[in-house]
Order: sequence, then structure tokens, then C-alpha cells
Amino acid sequence: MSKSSSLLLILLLCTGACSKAEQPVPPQVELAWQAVLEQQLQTFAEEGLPEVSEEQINDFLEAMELASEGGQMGARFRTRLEEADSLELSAALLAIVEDREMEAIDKTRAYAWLRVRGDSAMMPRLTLRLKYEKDWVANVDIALALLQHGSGAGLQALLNILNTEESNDPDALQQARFRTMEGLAFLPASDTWQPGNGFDADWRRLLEVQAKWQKHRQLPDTKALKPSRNQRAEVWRTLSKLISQRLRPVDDARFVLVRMPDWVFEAIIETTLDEDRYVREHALQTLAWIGYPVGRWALEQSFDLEGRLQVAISGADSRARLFEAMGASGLSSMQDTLLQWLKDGNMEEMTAAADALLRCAGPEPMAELSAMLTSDMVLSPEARYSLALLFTEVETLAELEVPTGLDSSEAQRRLQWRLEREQRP
Amino acid sequence: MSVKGIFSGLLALGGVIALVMVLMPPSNEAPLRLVSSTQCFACHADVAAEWQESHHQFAFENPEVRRLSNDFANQECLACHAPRPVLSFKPGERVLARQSERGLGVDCLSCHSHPDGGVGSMNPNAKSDAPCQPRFSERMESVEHCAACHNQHKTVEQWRAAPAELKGTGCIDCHMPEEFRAGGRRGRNHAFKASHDLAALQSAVEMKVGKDGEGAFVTLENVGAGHNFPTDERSRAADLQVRWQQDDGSWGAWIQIRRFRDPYRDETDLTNTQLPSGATERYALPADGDTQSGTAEVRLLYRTNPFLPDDEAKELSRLTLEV
Repeated sequence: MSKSSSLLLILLLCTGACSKAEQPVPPQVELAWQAVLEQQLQTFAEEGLPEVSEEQINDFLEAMELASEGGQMGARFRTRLEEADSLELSAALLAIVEDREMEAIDKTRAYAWLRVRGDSAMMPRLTLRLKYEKDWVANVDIALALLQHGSGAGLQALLNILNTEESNDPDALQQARFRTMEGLAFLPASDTWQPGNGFDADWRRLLEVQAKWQKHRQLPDTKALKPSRNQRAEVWRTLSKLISQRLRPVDDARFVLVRMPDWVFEAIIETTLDEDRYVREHALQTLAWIGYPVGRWALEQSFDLEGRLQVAISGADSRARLFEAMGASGLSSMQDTLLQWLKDGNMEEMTAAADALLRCAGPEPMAELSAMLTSDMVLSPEARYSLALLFTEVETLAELEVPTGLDSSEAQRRLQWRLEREQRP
Repeated sequence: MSVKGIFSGLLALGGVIALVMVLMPPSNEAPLRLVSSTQCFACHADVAAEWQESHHQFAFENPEVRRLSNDFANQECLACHAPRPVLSFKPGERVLARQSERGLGVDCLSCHSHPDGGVGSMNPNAKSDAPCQPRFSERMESVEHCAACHNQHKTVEQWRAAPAELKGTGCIDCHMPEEFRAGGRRGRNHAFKASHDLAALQSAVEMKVGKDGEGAFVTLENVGAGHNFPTDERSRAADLQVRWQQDDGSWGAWIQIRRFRDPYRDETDLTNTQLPSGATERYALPADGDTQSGTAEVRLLYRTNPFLPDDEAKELSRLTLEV
């Protein structure tokens, strides 16, 4: 009895212990949260657009009104505006266009002067006007002002205006279309396109510039402009909105950041290490929304995106969002990390890893992923569908069965990722 | 009995105890690793049935939400329509979106799952050895628990400003009344009746009509909501309307008296016209043409989105007045 009952006891106790669910053991990576935002805001505290008083705003309002008159007085005030400090002027003009109560005519003048005299530091706040400004002509001025500072964020507005044929206010639309066609002369010139060769050529150039912008967050045939310290200060102020508990500032910041030139990527990546959970989450989400342009930029700059993002993997709070950003980059160098978490993570992490692999995996892990798909591994419907899409040819995507429990819009999102895979960096 | 015998006996007893531990029914079952709310349904079928009827269950698939969020292209809406567990955030902080099983909307795990395993319960005597390891969590019955989502559109701020007699102790007083279930189990209703329930809406406001020296009027009082009527920014609207009987007995067109609504952030030309908790507002009945006389009908319509046509709105009240 002694030997056999001991063995029985051990066996039974062992069985009891083993019946507890196993918890995944995350790979250990060093935790390194930092006060990124706080430090950067301190560094740039004296730079960026200055605060402007109501008195200064009123002065510029008066100057703009008088500058629109003819004669010597008009000329005098135009000169005054042309010689004003560009940072102070930009800050005042932005305050005017951001004021809900301001008269439409004052806003129209302010946009026109921002286009002519705005400092590049205005870029984030002016980009945000694309979200709120409903006036067609103002949108043309915003787009052209951004364009001359190296941002194509307003190109979509120009395309929309030219593509729109009907409006409740046909006169305003007609005026905006006319201003847009005039404004196409300011697109970056190339070996094959110069302004003045007719609308068809201008239209094709607009599409070319827009395509390059969408893919790279760069303008074609243009030497990239180095951001000024004032401009960078405004970017950090935009990033600081990610900490907000109210969603509007967060939403505004993301709207701006996804439309900024590629030089902001490094700041957003740095922000993914911030000590605040919401800042990390939204910085990662912003990178995911930008998507493949971040991956392309990392390749072009030989930037170790995987290495930088890896540090954040130790934070369980934002891990799923981190995987989303990794996948959205389209870089296959992310696949080993993602594969490991697909095997060892919890349901959220496994789902995020599978989704990310759909967007970035190269050919190497396919055999292992295929084996997982046919195994009895417990996967969420989302993860199962993402993996199945990896093994489905584009031509037969419509035939792939959507797993039970997967919402149709969630299936559609993943189908879109599958189609976008063809554009991976 | 020899020492060897005693030792063997103890071992055998240990073996039996271990066997009992392994085969013990549910209350001593191994803790469940909770990965999906669908795991809750078997033991809590009655609660799940209530939830299935609720707009929490419908939060992700709701076509109205899809339309207003541009099919979740406005991804910030996702956070509250498919949230990660609220208990993994600090009290009152807003939640963030989850990645898996979004189709379940605001599900069991959204409100109950503890970040370190098990589930939170409002029951102080929660049976902690059940497979889902429930434990009492005071936070579960606090307004902060709901605020994680419901204050995004300011409802909890409105509640804080409400008069004491309408406030109650929090959201659950009105939206999760007590429920006595089969087997003597006591709990809270999980249907979360609110703006999609006619009775709940009608209990929020009282409409009266009358005439005095200043003419015919209608009053609307927020008598039952511990927050503004309607609450929620952008999505909800209520309209007071009047129509007059014509000489030939037919009814004229409905004339708008007042819209109650908090406009969305980009509707820069509108202001907040919601009716605060406990407040009463009075409006003169606008005339149909030149005169304000004859028979008037006044109605209050509620719209779950401001663009719903009249015939799809809920009519909360209709009164007649001879002027």
C-alpha cells in the first residue's frame, strides 16, 4: 500500500492542481515608462505660437478690414500686416478663425492672410480647421496654406470641391471651384508638370501629389522642409491633448496627427512610452491609423521601429493596441513578436496579434499559422477570420465563410486589411 | 496498529480527500479563466435574457449608432460600444475599446470582469468559491462605474447637478431596479430600461397645457429624471409641437414650439436646450396664422436621433386645449 498509495496521492494531488486554468506567461521585457510629454512640453515651453490678448486680436481684425480698402490707407495696413511678427500674426489669425462667434467676413480675411503670412508653426492648428471649417473657399485657403509649408493634408478638400457638382449654395461652390483651379498652380512642379498647361494636366498632377501624400506623408518632387522648433513645439502641444479624459481634445489631436507630414512620426513613437496609459494608448492608435506610411518611413530612415515599440510590450494595459500599431506598419519584422503572443497571450492579445499578422506577416510564419488555424486552439472569431484571410486568395475572398459570432462590419474591416496587404511596404 | 499501518491509513485518507477535491461539484470547481461573456450565460441565464433585450447588448450592432458614428469610422465611439472591462480603469476614467468579440457590445465582462481575475458583484455576500470567483465590489454600484461611458455625453455631470429628490443614490436606482429571480435569488435588472422604453421616458417628464392672461401655454417639467431631459449630447432630441383645428374640423400642420437637445460639438450654431432635472419651462402656443383660438392639440415627441421623422418618433404625451 505504502508505495502505491503514495503514488496515487501524488497523482491525485497533481491532477487537482493541474485542473486550474493555466495563465499565459508573457515574455519579459524591461519596463521603461517615461515622462515624455512633460519633458517635451518643458523643453519647448518658450517656443511655438504665443498667447495673444483680445486687444491684439482686435488690432489685427481692424488692420485686416482696413487693408481690404483701396488707396493709401489700405496699402498702409497691408504693409503693417506684411511686416507683423509672423508668429504673433499667426496666433491672432488662428484665434479669429477658431472663434465660433466671429463674423464670417473676418474669418475669410484671416484665412486669406494665414495663407500669405502664416508661420509654419500654425500647421497643427490650421490642419484642425479642416475638421470644423464648413466654408468652401476657406477650405481652399487652408489647403494652399498647408501645401506651401510641406503638408498635403488639405489636398482631399481640393479634390472634394472639384468632385462636387451640386450644393445648397451654388455660388459659394462655384467660387471655391474657381479658387481651387487657380490654386492648383501651387502644386509642386515636376519634370513632367508645370502650371499653366490646362486643367486636365493640373487635375492629374493633383491626383499624383495626393497619392504620394497618402502613401508617404510627403509631397513629391519637393525637398522635405525641416520642421522649425516652433513647429515642433506645436506638435508636442497637440500630442499633449492625448491625455484628456474628454474625447474631443483627443479626437482633435488624432485628426491633426494623422494628417501631418512624416517628420511627426518620431514624436508620436516617442509618446508611446509616456507614463500615462491614455497617452500611450492614443499614440499607438494614431500610429495604427496612419498605417503603412509609418512602416515606409521607418524603412527609408533605417529607423528601428520594432525595437522602439518592443519596449512598450511590457505594459499589459496597452499591449493589444501596441500589436495593432505593429501590424498597421506592414513591416514583416514585427511578425516574430506577434506570433509569440498569438501563442501565449490572453484572448485580447491573441486577437490583436492575429489581426496584426494579417496586416504585416511575410511568408515565413505561414506554415505555423496554418497549423494553428486547423488545430483545436481557442481563438476568438476575429482572430480565426484574420488567420483564414491570410490563406485566401484575393479573388476568392468573398467565398470565405465568416465565423459565427463575428459582426459583419468587423469582418469587413479585416477584408479591407487583407486587400491592403498588397500595398505593404 | 503499527506505525506503518497508521501511515498507510493516513495516506489512503489523503488520497480520498484529494479525490473528493478533484471531483467536487461546481462550488469547488477550478476557477474559470474568463475569456468571453458567453461563459456567463449557462449559470446566469435569467440575467443574460434581460441583457439580451437591452441596448447594452445592442451597443455595437445598433444601426443608429452605426449611422451617427459613420459606421465607427469615428473610432472613439468604439470605446463605449465595445469596451474593455471598466474595472481595469480607475473609477470615473473613461474606458478604451477592446479587440475581440465586439459584437457582444457592452457585455458581462465589460462591467464585471476584474483585471486580476474573477468578477465584481454588488452582492456583499457573493459566493467567492463559484467558478467565476465573484467578490463584492463597492464600485459596481457607484455612479463612477457608469460614468466611464455615460459621462462622455455629460449625463453623470447632469446627475451631479440634479436636485436631491430626483438624484436617488445613483444610476442603478432607476435603470437597474431590484429583481427577485427563480430560486429566491435577488439581484438587479439587467435590461437597463431608458430612452428606448416608452414607460421610462414617460416617467421622466410631465406636460401640462393651460391658458391665462398671457394666452395659451404649455409647460414641461422634468419630474422624474435625475439628469437632463433628454440626456445625451447629439443623439437624443425631444420636440414640443402644437396644431390647431381648422374651421372645417380638419387639423392644421404641426407647428414646432421647442426642441430639447444638446448639440454635437461641430454644430457650432446651436446651443444646449435640454430640460435640467427638476426644471419646468413654459412656452406660449404659437398661432396657426393670425389667431390663437379654437381647439389646440399639443404633443411631445422623443427621438433617439435628431433626424428621425415625426412618424418614427415616440409620442410621450398628447393633450387638448380649448382656447
